[in-house]
Amino acid sequence: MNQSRSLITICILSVLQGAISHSGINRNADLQRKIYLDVKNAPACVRLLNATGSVGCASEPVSAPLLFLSNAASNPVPDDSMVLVPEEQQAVFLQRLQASSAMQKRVKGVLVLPGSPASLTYADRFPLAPYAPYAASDYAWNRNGTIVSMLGIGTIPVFLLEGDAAAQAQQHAEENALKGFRGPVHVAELDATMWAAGNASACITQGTCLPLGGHSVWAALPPLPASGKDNRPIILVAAGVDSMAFFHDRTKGADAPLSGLVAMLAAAEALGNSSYADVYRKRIVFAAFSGEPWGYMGSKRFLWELHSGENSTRGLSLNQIEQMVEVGQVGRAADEVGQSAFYLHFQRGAPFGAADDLVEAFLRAGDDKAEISEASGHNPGIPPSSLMSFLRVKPGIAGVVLEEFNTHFINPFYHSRLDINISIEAVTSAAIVLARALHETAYGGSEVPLLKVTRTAVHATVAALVECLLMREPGLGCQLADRLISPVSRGEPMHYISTLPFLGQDSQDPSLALKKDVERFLWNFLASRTASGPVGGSSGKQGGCDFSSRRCAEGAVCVGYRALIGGSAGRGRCLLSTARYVPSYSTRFGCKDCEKGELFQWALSNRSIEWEATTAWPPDPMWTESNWPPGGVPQYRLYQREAEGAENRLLMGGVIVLLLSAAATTVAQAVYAQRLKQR
Amino acid sequence: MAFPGFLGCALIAGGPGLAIFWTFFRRKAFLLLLILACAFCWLVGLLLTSLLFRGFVPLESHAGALAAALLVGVAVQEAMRLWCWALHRKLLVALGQVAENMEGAGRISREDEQLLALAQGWAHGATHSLFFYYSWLPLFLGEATLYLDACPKMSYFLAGALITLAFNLLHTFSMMIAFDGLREGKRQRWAAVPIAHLAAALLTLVNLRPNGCLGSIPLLLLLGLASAAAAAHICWHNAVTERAEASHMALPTSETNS
Repeated sequence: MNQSRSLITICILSVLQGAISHSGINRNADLQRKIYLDVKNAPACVRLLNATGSVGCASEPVSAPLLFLSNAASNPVPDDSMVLVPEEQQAVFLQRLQASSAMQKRVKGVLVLPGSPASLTYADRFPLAPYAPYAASDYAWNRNGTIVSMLGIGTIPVFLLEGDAAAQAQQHAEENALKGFRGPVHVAELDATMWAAGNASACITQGTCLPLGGHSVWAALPPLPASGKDNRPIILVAAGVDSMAFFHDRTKGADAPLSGLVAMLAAAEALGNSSYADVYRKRIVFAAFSGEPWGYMGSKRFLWELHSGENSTRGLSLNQIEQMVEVGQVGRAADEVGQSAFYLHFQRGAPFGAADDLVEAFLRAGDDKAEISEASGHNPGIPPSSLMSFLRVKPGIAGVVLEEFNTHFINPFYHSRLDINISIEAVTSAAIVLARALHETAYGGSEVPLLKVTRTAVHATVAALVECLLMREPGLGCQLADRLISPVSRGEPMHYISTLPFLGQDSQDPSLALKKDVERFLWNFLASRTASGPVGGSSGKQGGCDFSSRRCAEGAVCVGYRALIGGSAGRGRCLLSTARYVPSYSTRFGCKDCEKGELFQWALSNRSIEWEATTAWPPDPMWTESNWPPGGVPQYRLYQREAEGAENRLLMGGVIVLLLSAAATTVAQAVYAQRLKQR
Repeated sequence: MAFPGFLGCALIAGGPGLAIFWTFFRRKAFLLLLILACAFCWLVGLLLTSLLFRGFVPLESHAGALAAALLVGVAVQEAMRLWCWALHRKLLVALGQVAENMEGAGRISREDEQLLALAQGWAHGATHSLFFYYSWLPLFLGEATLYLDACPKMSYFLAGALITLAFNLLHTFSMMIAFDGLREGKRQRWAAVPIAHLAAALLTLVNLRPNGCLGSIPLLLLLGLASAAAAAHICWHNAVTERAEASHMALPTSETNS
């Protein structure tokens, strides 16, 4: 009402009074905004292409009257409708849409109104079941699971409305219904133009899509020796970096996987701060895998690069990896009083490695804040985790997955934009338990010295990491990140892996164009926390290091270099540390003619086929995301459309006014002339 | 809104002005120049007036503040009208001298004076329309229309077209009425013009009320038509009261110039 009052004000004054012409300068823009509620780069379902076809949504611009469905399962949908559905009913409606081709013809697009459902998940009941090292693919780890994220809605665009747009759209839809869709109607125009079609092979060849991808990061504690390699057994500690949701841009992934990632990072800091790392009999390798929701892309690529001896995994070998600990969903483990309960999942029976030592270490690591239990023996095996990739390639690895659940996920928002809440207490407890268990396992022997871990310090680290990785403010503008990197984009990092436009010649090149903010943050954090110390002497680069003229000596890495600050203030420190980036993208893609010195261009690759066949990987999904036109797509706008025929009536009215006026003036002139003649 | 709607609104708002122009001014090059000069003056005047409001916009959206703004706006424009009257007098003197020096031409007639006043009024109305309606009308060339909650029966731009039409008529004929009153010293006649202007301005405040536009717009149109009728009446009356011996000197036309 206030808006319309102010607009009336503008109208009155502008028509009447030149005095308000100053406000009139802004008026056109205001009026434009009033007429069109225009949202560019909106959260939308976009087209993804894989080895077998495409999923998601794509559509040329379409417009239709807004229709609100309070009951998405049964409300009738007339022809030419732009359907508004509450988020709680989105999955139901999309499934209804999927089932009926007649309905698909009637519905021009779907707008989702944000809500607060009790549960929301866009993953399968058993996410990525084909990768499991057991046959029970119908087991429901994710009991609320749907397959909406993989539904091929085809040419029907689906957008998420946010803020004012959501409120206005619902109000406008209700007005349409009240007026029976007669007269001027409120419509929405959606544009989800996608360039790619067919499948991933076709679009990569045509250059109309890009692979989903990024970089995983790993770091060793203690660092690898200057010679590059020793024979210490390795305990691999893994966590995921990114998540997925129906509207990828709005992916959060607080519990899955960021709670596990934060716990792992905090544990790395706690272990790095202790003085025992150098005497560990086993080397702890912390790995943050990117792209795991997409067919365990990160861990698979890591294993492939390990197998093919790439620079990204230099110093590691699969033979050395004897044990693996994965930190899964741990952020919802705490109860009201901060007491957390964790469960250890491991693959029982042959041919899988016995995880008894790890399990025992974890059980001993529990305290009054963290209760550790073995997961139910009735579970078919380990829950969805990167460990599945490693057991496929080396079943003998003794692996455990630390989770907040026993038989099924307790996170009702797994793989949805509402996975936003985690308990810092729970993550702190997980980090402490993890650090203690890793310390005991890595130290080896029977006389393990006590690892001194201060809960307050770990809590502070966890809180700082949550602030950096999960909060909209400050996000990567946080103090912790400020000391480590120059983020290209301050604020909350994107939790969807997104695309990998190209690769550098050197996989370790940390250029801003080649590595995402989160990847550089993780690399710097792990490198600094697992370092055995600064480099001494002249090779320590007095005055700081960078990635060009002031590189560190062999065996050391430059940590904390902030390229965007520049000068000596932005330089980093040379530390004796081992931290690496590992590309994460489909093993079926590669550079077209990079060995010939050509510009980077994605192409299909068969290099890994033999290895994949040997290790019986499911067919690689080859996930890609379609390209779309620049300039705001996906975008939508809400506006009111004139009733049919109204414009022609207006034109008729205008012509009539003109003709009557012409007749009146002509007659008046003639009569006046007569009058003058009479004079 | 597409082109037919756009054109319809443009014709509703400007149709009578177009007809007046076509009928009375199109063959008179001097009046065209006068219109351009006057329109420029009104444009500058409006821009300068807007400076008065720099410190006050955006105005609070309640009737009191708006009425105060309207009052100031009307006062400034009526002051400009008086200034126009002074220029008009000087123009008549200058034209009289030119007429005297032109062989075969008589003095400036009452009809010429009225035509000059009409041209200045037309410039006032056209400048207003151009400045405050046609400047934003192209926004509606897109797909959309706009209906306000307070005026759901007609679109925002149709309401704008009708209000513009009303003020166009009011401004065009007010100049004739005002100049005639000033010329003849008829106070009630020239005083009626600012009163009508202020009344029309305040009448638009009714638009703030739900469905107020349905009352205000017809009244505004009536006011516009009334001003046209009053101007016609004055012309009609003057045509017979003017001394018969006055020889008519037609203002130069494009044909006569050539």
